[in-house]
Amino acid sequence: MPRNTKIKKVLVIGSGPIIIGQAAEFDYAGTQACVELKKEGLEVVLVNSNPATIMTDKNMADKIYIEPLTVKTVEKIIEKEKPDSILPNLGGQTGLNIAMELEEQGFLKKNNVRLLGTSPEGIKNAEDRQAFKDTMERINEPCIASKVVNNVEDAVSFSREIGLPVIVRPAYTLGGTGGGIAYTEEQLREISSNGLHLSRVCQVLIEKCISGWKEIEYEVIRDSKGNCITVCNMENINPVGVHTGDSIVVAPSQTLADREYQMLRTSAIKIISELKIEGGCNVQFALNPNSFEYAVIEVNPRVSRSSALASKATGYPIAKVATKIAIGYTLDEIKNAVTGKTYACFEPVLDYVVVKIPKWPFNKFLTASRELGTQMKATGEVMAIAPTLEAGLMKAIRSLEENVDSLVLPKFASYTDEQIRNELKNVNNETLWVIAENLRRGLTIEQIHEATTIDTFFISKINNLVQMENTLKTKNLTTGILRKAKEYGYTDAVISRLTKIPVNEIKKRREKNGIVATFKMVDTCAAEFDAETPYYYSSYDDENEANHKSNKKKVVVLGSGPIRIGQGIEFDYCSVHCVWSLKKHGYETIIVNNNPETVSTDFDIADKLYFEPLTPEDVENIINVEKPYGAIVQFGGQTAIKLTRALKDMGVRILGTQEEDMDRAEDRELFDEALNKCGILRPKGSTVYTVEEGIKVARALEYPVLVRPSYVLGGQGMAIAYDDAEITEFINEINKTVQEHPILVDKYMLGKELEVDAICDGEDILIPGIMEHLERAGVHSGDSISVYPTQHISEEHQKKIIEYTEKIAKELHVIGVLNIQFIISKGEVYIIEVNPRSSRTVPYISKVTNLPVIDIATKVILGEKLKDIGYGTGIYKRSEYIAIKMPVFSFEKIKNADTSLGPEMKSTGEVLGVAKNFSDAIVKAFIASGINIPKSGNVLITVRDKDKEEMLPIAKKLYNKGFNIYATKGTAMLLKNNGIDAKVVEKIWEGAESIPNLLQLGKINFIINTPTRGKEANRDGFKIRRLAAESKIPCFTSLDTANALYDAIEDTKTEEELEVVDITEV
Amino acid sequence: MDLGDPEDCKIGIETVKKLYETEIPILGICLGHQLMALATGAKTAKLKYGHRGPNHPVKDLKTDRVYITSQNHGYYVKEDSVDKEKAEISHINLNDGTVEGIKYKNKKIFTVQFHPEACPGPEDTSYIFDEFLKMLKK
Repeated sequence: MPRNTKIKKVLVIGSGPIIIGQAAEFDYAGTQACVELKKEGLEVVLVNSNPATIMTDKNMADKIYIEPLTVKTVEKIIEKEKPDSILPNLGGQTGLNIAMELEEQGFLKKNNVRLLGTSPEGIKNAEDRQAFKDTMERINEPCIASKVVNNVEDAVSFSREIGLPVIVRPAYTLGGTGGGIAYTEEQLREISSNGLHLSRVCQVLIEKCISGWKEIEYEVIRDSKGNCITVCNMENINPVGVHTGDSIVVAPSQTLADREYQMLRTSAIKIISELKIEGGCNVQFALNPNSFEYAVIEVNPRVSRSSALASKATGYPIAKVATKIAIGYTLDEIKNAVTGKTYACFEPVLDYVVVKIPKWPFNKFLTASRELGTQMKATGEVMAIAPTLEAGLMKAIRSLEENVDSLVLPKFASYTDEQIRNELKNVNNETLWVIAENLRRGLTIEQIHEATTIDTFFISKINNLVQMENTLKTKNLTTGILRKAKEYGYTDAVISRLTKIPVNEIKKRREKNGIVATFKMVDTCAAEFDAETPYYYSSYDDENEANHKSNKKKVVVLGSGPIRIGQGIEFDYCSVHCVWSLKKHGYETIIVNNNPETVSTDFDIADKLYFEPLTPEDVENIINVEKPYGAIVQFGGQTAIKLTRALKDMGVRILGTQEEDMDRAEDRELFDEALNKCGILRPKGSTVYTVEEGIKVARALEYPVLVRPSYVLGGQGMAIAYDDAEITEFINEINKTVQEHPILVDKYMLGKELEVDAICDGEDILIPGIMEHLERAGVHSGDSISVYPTQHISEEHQKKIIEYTEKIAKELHVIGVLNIQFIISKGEVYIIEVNPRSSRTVPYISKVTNLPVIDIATKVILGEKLKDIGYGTGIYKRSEYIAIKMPVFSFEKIKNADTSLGPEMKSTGEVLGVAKNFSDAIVKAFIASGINIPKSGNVLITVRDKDKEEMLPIAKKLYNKGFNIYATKGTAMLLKNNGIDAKVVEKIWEGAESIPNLLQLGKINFIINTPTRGKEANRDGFKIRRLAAESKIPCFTSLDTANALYDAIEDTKTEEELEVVDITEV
Repeated sequence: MDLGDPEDCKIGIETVKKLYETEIPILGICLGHQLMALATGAKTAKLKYGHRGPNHPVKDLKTDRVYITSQNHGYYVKEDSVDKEKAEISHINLNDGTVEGIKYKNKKIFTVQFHPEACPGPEDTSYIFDEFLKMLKK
C-alpha cells in the first residue's frame, strides 16, 4: 500500500527529559521519524520538553514546541496547529501515554486527529496488564502466573497462592519504576505499596518469580498488511530478574539452539499479529534453560531502548521503518537502507557479535545501592561490535570509561577467596569482574554457574579471557600468543601490564608481524548484496573492508561515549551538528563513538561511522586506516578532550583550540597565569595531592573550601568542605582512583553564578547570551535552574562578563567554542572555570537565541572569521523570550542515593520553559520537570541551623499565601517566634504526625530541606530526602530553588492559560 | 558444465514427467520445484549469487503477504519460460524477483523454491504443508 494521502500534518510527541529508563534512544527514534516525514513532504509539528535533543532543532520539523509533555499542553498544541494525525509510538512511554490519554478522553476524535500506527486497542492489549494477560491466554501463549491487584492485601493473598518470591511490576511506568522482587511478605507489602502509588492507573502485577531462566528479546516489525519480520534477537547474559536495561546483552542470542530460536521467533510473530501492531515492537521472553518451556514477559508496542540497540546492532533502522509503516507503507515497499536496492522486508544476518554493557551512575552516588533488579538504574550504555564475544566484552569494557580496561578490578586483589566467592551472590555492576576473579582463584565454570545461574557458555568466554591473562603473565610472548590476545580484544597497554614488556615494544612487534587492526563492514546480508553503509568495527582479520577512496579532505569527529550524569545527550547534539556542518563544507566526515542510543551512531549521519571504544589505541587504529586531514575534539565532551594529546602524538592535526591551550585552561598554575595576564580575578586556591597538603591549604584559605579533581566534567568528585574531617574524606575518595593530575582546593565563595558559551576565532568572539543560575554558587551548574537572558544582573556586570570572555578566549587562543562559569560575589566578577569545549548549555542556548552555535563554531574551526559569517561579534541580540532550563533527576530509581544538591552534578536530564515573562517560563519549566505547582497545601520545612534565618522570608511568604507549614521542633519554634504558626512534626519515624507518616500518606505537597554536611547515609535529613524521592514528593535542598517555586506559585495563570510557543518563530 | 545445474538431472526430470501425468498429489521443494518446472517445459538459469546466506523474503502472490524463508539454491526457474496454460507463479522472491513457487493448473501439484521444512530456519511458511494436506483431503 502506498502512503496514505489523507495524512498531511503530523504531530510527533517526544519523550521529554533524559531520565533513567528513557534516554537518548528516543531522540534517535524521533529524529529518524521527523526526517522521514519531511522527506515524504508532510508537515511536521513536534513537541518535546527536552532542549538538548536533535529532534527539537529548527531543521527537523516545521513547528517546534519545547513545552511540558502533559496532556493539557499537547491538547493546546493540537488546538492551535490542527494536525490531522499524531505519531505516538516513537516518543517512548511518555509519548505513548499522552497519546493514549488523549484518545481515551475522546479528544482526538473530537478534533479529527487520527492515531498513526498500532490501534489504541492494540496498544491497550499490550500495555494494560490484565488485557495483555487475557490476550496471551486467547492465543495460547504462556505467561508467568500472575495477578493484577489494586491494593496491598490482594497482593499478599495472591502471593500465598503462588508462593514467594514474587515480582511486583507497576502498570504504565517506565524502566520498571517502583517494581522489585519480594522474598518476604514484609518486602512485598513495601514494594507493592510503593508501586501502586507510582502507577498511573494504581495497578500492579504480582507475578511468580522465575529467576534463573534465560531472558531473550525479539525486535519485531509488522505492517498493516500483516507482514512480519524479526530484526534480531538479543540475549541477556544476566538471567531473568535483572531489568533488561541493566543487563549485559549480546546480539544475536548465543546459547539458543535453532529449535528454541524459532520457537520464540514464531511466538513473537504470533503475538504482534494478534495485537495488530503497525510498526516496531519488542517482545521479551523468559526461557527455561532445562526445557523448552518459555513465558512471555512483556511486550512494548513502540520503539524502545532495545529497538535502538537492535538498529545499531544490525543497521536496520527500526524507527525509520516504523514511521513509514505508520503513514501507510508496507514492508515490501520500503527500501532496505543497507543495500539501497532490496527491501525492508528482510531479516538481517550477523557475522559478528554485539555486546551491550550498561553505564551506571554509582560513582556519583557513593551511598547508593549497587544491587541490580527489576528497577533500572543505568543512565546509559555502550555497545561493541566484534568478531568474537571475547573481543566484544573487552571493547565494551573499555568503552565504559571507568578506568578499567580488562577483567581485572584492582580492588578484588585484597579479597580473600571466601569473600570473592560470596560476591557471586550479589547481582550488581561488578558481576563480570567477580566471575573473572573467581575463575582466577580456581573456581570452575560449573561452580560459578551454580552460584549465578549465568549460562556456562558466557562463563567459559570469560574464562578464555582469564586464561589469556595467565598465558600473557606466565609464557613467553610469541607471535601466536600476541595475535590471539589481540583477537581477544586485549589492548597493547593491558598486554604490556601482564607481560611487563613496554607498550611501545608490543606495538612494534605487532607491526613487524602484521598484527594490525582491520575494519569490517556491517553488511547484514551475508554478502549476497553490496552494502552501501560505511559502518565499521575493528578486527584482527587479514582483509580490511574500510578501503573506500575519496578525494575529499577527511575530518574525524570524536563522539562522547555513553550517557552519564554530567555528560549527556547535549554532546551528541554538538557532534552531530559538527558533522553536518563539515559535510556542508565539502569534507568527508568520520565519526567514532560507541553509544548505541544516539543520533551520532546512526549510519546516515557521517560519511563513515566507526563503532569503537574511545581510547587512544582504538582511535589510532582508525587513524592508521583513514589518515585524516584532522580531528575535532571540542564537541565530544571530556571523552573526546581526553584523547587530544594522544591524537597529537599520533601526528593528527587538531582542528580548533590546540592541546597546549586546553591545558592552560585545566592546569591550575597555567590558568592562574593566564587570568593574571588578563587582569581577571578568580577565587583563591591551590593544588594538592595529599590530605595533609589539602588541610594545610584549606586552613590557609579558611573554610569552607571547594575540593575537586582536575580534568573532569559534571563536577565528578567535587564537594564543599567545611572542616578538616570533610576535606580528609573528600580527598581520600578522589584518590581511590589514581590521579594523573593534582586536586584543586579553592576558597568557596558565596554568590551569584553565571554562565557563558562563546565562539572565538582568535580575533573576535560571539556570545549567544549570558545565562544566570538561580541557585547560588555551590550547586553544580548542571543542577541549577538556568535563566536566559539574565534577570538580575547589572549592565556593568554584564559588560564585565563580556570583556572577560573576550580577554580569556583570546589569551587561550580559543578557536571554536568555550564555556565560562562566573561568580559575582560582593559586587566583584570572578571566573570560576573555563572549559575550552562545547558545554551542556550549547543546544539550549542555540535554540532560544536562534544562533546555530555549532555550525558557526565549525566554520571558525575550518578557518572562517566571525565577522564574515553574518551573525556579528560581541554579544548577540537579547531574545524577547525568556527560557528557563530546569534540571530533572532520577533519584527515585537509585535506592539510597543522596538527593541533596551540591557541587557534584546529579541530574540526568533537563527541560525548558519558554515564555514572554519570567513567571510563566518558570511555571512551564516546573511543570515540564514533573513538579506540580500547588496553590495551597502543606509544606514541610527542615533546614540546617545556618540556613534558619534565610529560610524565614520564604516560610513567611508561603504562610501568608495560605500554606500550612510543618516543621521540626527547633525550626517550628523559630517560625512561631516570627509569627508563623507552624505545626510541629516528630523528627522522624514515630507517631501519626511523624514525617514518614505524613509523606507516605501524601499529606505534604513539597519539602524544603537543606542538608547538614557530610555524605553519610544515616542522618535524619538523608532519610527524609530518600523518603521524599521514593514517594515522588518534591524536595528542595536549596533555598533558591524553593524561592523559584514560590515565583511559580505566585504566577496566576493555570497551565491551560499559558501560551504555547513555537520556537521556530522566536 | 556447471555444477548443480538441475537440467543435468536427466533421469529425475523423466521420472517427474511421469509423475506429472498421474493423479498423485505432489508438493515440490527446491530441486523438486525446479525438476517439476523442467518436466513441464520451463527453463532454469543460474543466479548471479546463489541464495545460500540470509533468509529471503518471499511473497505469496495470492495473499500479497511476505514470508521469511530458508533458501539454498544456485539456480532458478525462468519466469517467462513457464507455460501459463499449464501453471501459474504463486510466489516470488522480493529481493531479486525470481520465481519462488508455482501452482500447476488442473493438477494437485504445487512447488516452492524455498524450504518450508528447513531446520534451522524460520517457520513462517509451514502453511505450505497445511495447504498440501488440504489438497490431499479434497
